Amino acid sequence: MRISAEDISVSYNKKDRIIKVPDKVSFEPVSGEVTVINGRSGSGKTTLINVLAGILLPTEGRVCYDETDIYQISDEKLSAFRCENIGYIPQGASALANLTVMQNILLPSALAGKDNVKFAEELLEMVGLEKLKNAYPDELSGGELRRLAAARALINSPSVIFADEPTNDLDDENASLILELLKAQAEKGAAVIIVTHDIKAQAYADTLYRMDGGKLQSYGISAKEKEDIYDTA
Amino acid sequence: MKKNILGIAEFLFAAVLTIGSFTVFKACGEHEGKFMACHWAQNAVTLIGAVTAILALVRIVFKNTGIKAGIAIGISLLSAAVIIIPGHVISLCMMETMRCHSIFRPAVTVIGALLVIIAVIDAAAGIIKSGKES
Amino acid sequence: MRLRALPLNDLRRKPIRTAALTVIALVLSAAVFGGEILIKSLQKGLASLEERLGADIIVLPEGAENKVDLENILLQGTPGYFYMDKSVADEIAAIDGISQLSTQYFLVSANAECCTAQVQIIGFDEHSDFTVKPWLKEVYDGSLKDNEIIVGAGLSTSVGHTLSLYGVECKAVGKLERTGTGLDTAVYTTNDTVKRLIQASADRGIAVLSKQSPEDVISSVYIKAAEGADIDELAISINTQIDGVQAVRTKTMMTETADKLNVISKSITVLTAVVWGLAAVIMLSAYYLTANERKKEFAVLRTIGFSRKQLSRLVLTESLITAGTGGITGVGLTVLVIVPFLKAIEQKTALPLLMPSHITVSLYGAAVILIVLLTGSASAALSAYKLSHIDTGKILREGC
Repeated sequence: MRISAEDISVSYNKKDRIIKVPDKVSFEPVSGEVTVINGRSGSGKTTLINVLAGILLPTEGRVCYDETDIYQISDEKLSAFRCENIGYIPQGASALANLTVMQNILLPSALAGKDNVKFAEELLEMVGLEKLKNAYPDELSGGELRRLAAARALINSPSVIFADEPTNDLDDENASLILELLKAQAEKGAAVIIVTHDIKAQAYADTLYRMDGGKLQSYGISAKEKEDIYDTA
Repeated sequence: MKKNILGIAEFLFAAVLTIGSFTVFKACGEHEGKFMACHWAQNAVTLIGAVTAILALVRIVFKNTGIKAGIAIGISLLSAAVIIIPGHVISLCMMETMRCHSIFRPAVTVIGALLVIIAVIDAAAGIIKSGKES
Repeated sequence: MRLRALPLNDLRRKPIRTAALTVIALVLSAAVFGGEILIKSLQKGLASLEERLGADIIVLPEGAENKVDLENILLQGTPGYFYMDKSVADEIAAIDGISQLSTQYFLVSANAECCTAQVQIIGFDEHSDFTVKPWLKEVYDGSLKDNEIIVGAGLSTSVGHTLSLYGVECKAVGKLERTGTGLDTAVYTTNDTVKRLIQASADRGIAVLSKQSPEDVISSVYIKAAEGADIDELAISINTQIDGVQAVRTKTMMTETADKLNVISKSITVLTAVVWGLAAVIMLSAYYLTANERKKEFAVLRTIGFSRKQLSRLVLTESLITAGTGGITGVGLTVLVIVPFLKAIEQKTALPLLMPSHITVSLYGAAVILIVLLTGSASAALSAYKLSHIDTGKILREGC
């Protein structure tokens, strides 16, 4: 699936001043690759992926999946499209408190009218939550909740995955587990976009961007080269 | 506690029925040394109420789900019986304006009906549960 | 995991909130339904009383207390008696504008066997009667023989059984329809039988509350005006031409009761409206508050792919479940309390109450449940709108 964002701007009113973050950003994540965007907080990373994921209407610009401008279609169509094609791992805890771990993971597939119990069990095993499948989120640790969010984002095998600070507050083991999982999805053909300030994540990047003051800049070098730079430094 | 909540409710309603039947909502009193027809209906209600209360206590004490369900069925049958006692099984006084018609019988009907509802739910839940256990 | 189970799941995981919302719906439905049933019972009771009397004018002995007694007999079933000379009936009959006229004699028994309560025994004239027979539910063969009686619907004696009055076994040969008035507990018989009852009481040494015989006195005269006659004028002519009596227009008596009834109906209506308003406000604020609490949850649902419509439906379904459960339970409990205790309420309030038909009650029950459902979903509508139009991106970033 070809994804393209053209001249995306989102304007805010801040103390009688209109600021644009992101500011006229054009961006084309590539299927089968992990794209990492880093930058300071407030630089507009999260806003950019929210616009791309179809949950935030940009002030200017358009977002197209193949030939479809997603903000030109009805809310119902867009929601159904998101459910089937976009996996989103939000920042922080995002488990639904009233559902068990298993129900949380199955919810997107139920919404799509599918019954993916088998795949859900595989995912649970992949993220190491198989013993907790009947537990409620309030019984889970921060790392477990994040793994749950990742598994839920993958249940419908989406072609595009957005992850907002997926390794935040996680220990190395948990962080690697999630990043490996995302990398595996890219290898299966999905476009994976990770927004983070975690240097570890950059090691998994095929393409690396930096967001600064609402502007997106490509490093213009491959991740491999970037890794070498870190190693030599 | 959670397991016995319906049993406790059954006991409370049965106790209210028993004690209320000769206090708050008693039938007509005696007149010139003679008890009226409704007095015997009142005695019957008190007796069945007491038996129901004891059964409810037994139901709380027992651990076995099957026995609990069995007793709940018994309680529902007894409470159904208590509803039809005043007026049907044992006749009441002649006039509808009298206490046994206007207070005693409706109170017994309402409490008996609630008791039937609770006991039937209890019995059904118990049967389903014991089916799952076995 | 089924999508349909989602609202139930949410409700189960928030038991206190769910219980509170259900109880509010329960109170609302019980208040509206109970109030409505009482008002309808009052209206039906009054209409039935008016029909039951069947007369345009009732003549009774002069004196305010006699009128009060009559009202007590009619409305509360408190037995009463008062007498005037029998010749009054002939004098009245001579006045123009009367189509039908029938006399009645009131006797009060000290006690019937088995009962502490006094029984109103009414001796009526079978030939001229037009107020008792139309209410016969089980028809007897045409005329009352010795010691035969007709009983009101409020007495447990059934047709064919006997009732012992002063030791005289009286056979019930007819039963009247239920009217919701005090006349439901009266016993009707011929004046001959009344005479025998008075004699029997004297023989057994039981105090009878009257010493005068139905041969000499009567208690009341029921009058139906001729077609086209002015009923008010007729009442005035009776009052002016005949001494020692008062002619009461049944309409006037009804009007007094109707006025009382109006006040009560209005109070119930106002009270119901207050409860309704209060319940709506409480529900509205409860949903509004939870809407703020649940923003993050709904933002997450949005990222999963829930459309605005689906999110609204989720909130509305939850409200319909709580309102529906509460509404149905409320109506059920009200039926369980009001229907059996209607007689007790009637006695305490001294108002004629007659339960509307089962169909009417069911229709009102259904209407009340519908009102509660509408109130619940209307209260939830604002929160449904808010939750389905959240700024998902902003909420997720704030993490609150």
